[in-house]
Amino acid sequence: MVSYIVKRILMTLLVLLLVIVFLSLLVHIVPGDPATTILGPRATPALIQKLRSSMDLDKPIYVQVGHFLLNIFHGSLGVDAITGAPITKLVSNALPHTLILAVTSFALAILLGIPMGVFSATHPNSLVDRFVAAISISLTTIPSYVAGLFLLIIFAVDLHALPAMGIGRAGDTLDYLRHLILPSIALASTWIGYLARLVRTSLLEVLNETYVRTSRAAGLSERLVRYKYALKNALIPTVAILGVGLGSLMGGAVFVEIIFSRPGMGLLIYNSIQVRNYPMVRAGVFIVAFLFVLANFFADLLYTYLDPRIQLNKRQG
Amino acid sequence: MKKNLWYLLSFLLVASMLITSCASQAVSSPTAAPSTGSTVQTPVATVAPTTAPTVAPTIAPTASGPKVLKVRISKDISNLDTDNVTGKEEDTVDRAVMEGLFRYDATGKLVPQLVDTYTVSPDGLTIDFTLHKGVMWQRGYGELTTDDVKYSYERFLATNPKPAYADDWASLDHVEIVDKYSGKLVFKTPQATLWTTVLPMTSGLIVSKKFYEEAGPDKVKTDAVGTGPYIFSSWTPQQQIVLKRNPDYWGTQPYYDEIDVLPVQDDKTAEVDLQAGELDFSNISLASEDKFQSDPNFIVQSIPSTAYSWIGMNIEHPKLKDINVRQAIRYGIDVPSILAAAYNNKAPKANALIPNGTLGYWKDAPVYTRDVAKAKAYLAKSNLTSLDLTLTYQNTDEYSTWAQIIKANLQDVGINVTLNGLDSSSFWAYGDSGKDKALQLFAVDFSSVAPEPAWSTMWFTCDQVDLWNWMRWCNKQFDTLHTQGIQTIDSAKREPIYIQMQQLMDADAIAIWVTNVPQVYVSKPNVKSVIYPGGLAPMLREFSGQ
Repeated sequence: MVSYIVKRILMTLLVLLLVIVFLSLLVHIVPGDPATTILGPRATPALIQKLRSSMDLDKPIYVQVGHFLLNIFHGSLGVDAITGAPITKLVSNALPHTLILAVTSFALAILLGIPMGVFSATHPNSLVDRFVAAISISLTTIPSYVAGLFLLIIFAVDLHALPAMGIGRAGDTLDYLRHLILPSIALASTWIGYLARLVRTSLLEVLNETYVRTSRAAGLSERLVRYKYALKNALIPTVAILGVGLGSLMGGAVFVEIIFSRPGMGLLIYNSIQVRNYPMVRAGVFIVAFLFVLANFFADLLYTYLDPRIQLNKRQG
Repeated sequence: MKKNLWYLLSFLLVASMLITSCASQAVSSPTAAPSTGSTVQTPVATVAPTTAPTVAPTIAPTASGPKVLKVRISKDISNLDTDNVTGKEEDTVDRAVMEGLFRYDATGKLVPQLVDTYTVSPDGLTIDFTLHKGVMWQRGYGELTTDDVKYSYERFLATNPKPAYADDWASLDHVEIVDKYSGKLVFKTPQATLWTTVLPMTSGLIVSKKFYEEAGPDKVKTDAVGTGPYIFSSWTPQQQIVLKRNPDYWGTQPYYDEIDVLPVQDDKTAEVDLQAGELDFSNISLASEDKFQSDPNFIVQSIPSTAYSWIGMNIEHPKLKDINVRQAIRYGIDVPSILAAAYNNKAPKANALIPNGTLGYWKDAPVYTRDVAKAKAYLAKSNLTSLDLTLTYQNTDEYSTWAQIIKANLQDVGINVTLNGLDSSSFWAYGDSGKDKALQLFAVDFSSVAPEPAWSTMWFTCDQVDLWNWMRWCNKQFDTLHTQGIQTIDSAKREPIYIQMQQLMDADAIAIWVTNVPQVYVSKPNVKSVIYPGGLAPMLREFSGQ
């Protein structure tokens, strides 16, 4: 296990290094000049040169990567090219909102998706199963931004029941939660459907396993067989997608944050891309990539914990 | 064990929400305590004090609590520093917090602000002024003096680096301090734009020397101290800027106790936010005007603006060098179709550079209507029967519609157009160091901060080739007239200069003028909004209830 963890950490570092290199290359690949975009039409050549230099754009890629890494070792992500504010400060303002949105959405997906999947699997081919299938497939196919717009129009515009933008008044937790409801449902919708389908398929498969039949033959109650033995094993594949799920939710959060004007990482990165604020883009994407890799890493560890048959540091076969 | 894990995770989630919602993320500042197109009269005489520098009675908060206005800006602020200010969002905030020697009032008329009395010399080269006494800087930065005026305006003369708005004060020689309240602006040449786009706008705002020296160049990008009716209370990146009523304001107190300025980038999102009651005021797209017009819960203002949109032709490009080809394109494109499709016929047709309502508007400009036979004849004159061109534009709904119509129109003439839609940043990158050489046809819009013809003509001079003169059209006579127009103070003498400049542009067929897109603003019925002349930015200090 220890060697596996060491290997994964090394792999994680390599992935992050590649991300930094890629982001540095991006500056040269993507059209659009940050200096003219940020400074506007009346910027003088001296101002433009000063800004380029502050972004390291006048330096070779290996120098840009080196500076970024050096900054990270000093606990800094650099300085925002536009406002001159430390990026760590901007990220620490935005990241909690995105994490809360992603985790709440994921919790919502689990709370709704798994029961839907279980109900379908335990009532296969029934009318309710078909209804749940229709709902879950529809949810899977609706992108979060479409769901977000629908929710906004229904609950914020027509019913005036929930807020449409922002995160609420500072210091007011209830207001914060009210502002979280629509974005988290919008972001969770795809995953509710996806989890429902995944759990249904997985549980149906497990329910046909010999050990389930044996348990039933031994006279164990159906409730015990379904929920204690079958469901536990059926959920293992679900755990495996936790890491990927978090990454996907962080990606989806970009759209949701734009639609609901939530000041999270998605909006921060999106706005930075718009104006080619490369130091901010690089740091923001780096943080998201780091969280994505970290979530995958923990998902793998959890996987082995839940299923002792899986030995990650040994080759199968 | 697993149960405990879940408990722990749930606890962490709730705790993080509590911490996040309670944490003060705002960058707080310590606090010590529509009319458009109006003719601006050039002040020529000493004006008696208009407002006594006394503290006006404070408006008491209503029983329902403080009066808070929620206003949308299209993007978050990035640089509030007056000599390098980034855009109209920063202008909006700066002008609510800071004040200049002069300003536009709610009717769009130029009026004295921080000056008590002033005299302009007959040659226009000096302005003697005295400041109102007892005007205090917000947040305890002391009293406004001529030292602040000198500091504010002479910053524009810096050379290393030259500020972005240095040209606004290009004719300034120096600011002379006579005493604490009296001074003199001394110019090298007369400058007509002083009275339209400089003194009453952001470049004319007075900054606190003490605050600027104390805060440093980075801090002043996102913080502001002024003498104005609102205090820059806090800025929470991506969330809001809070402007609070200045209780010690020397002039008439503003109506609102607080203005929350909220950055909402997407127009559609802003429209939903208006309908959901989250915003009290916002600009919206022209396409959505009808929807809000028919809703009794909103007041809609459609204001002619100083923005001008056109199809440009890079005359240095081998394919467009021949004026006959450019004439063929001019006669081949049906501008009314563009206006119908992209703006639902709500935008007026433009026939020349300077918009109606601005001095120099050429009302007799030739109107080119589509004539395919004539276009083909011009193409034949250049010994061509067909031509392949690329049209570059921003890939917004508006310009994508333009592009489709231009492509279809020119197809009939025998010109095949390849469409090159770009995101905003990639598009504007053509303004960098001659990248515009690669352009052929392009669709673009510029705007002027106020109705001032020099702001429209300044982009088409020879020194703008390789920068923003994407037609790459260089006409020495145009340049001479541009300088002459700026140095002529008399409006009656200025007007023919600008008409002549537009005639030069027209003669060379370098552009197809399309429209001056009106700006549409929506507010709740209880909000009385005021927009700056030019229609591009709200005058927050004049907003009130109704």
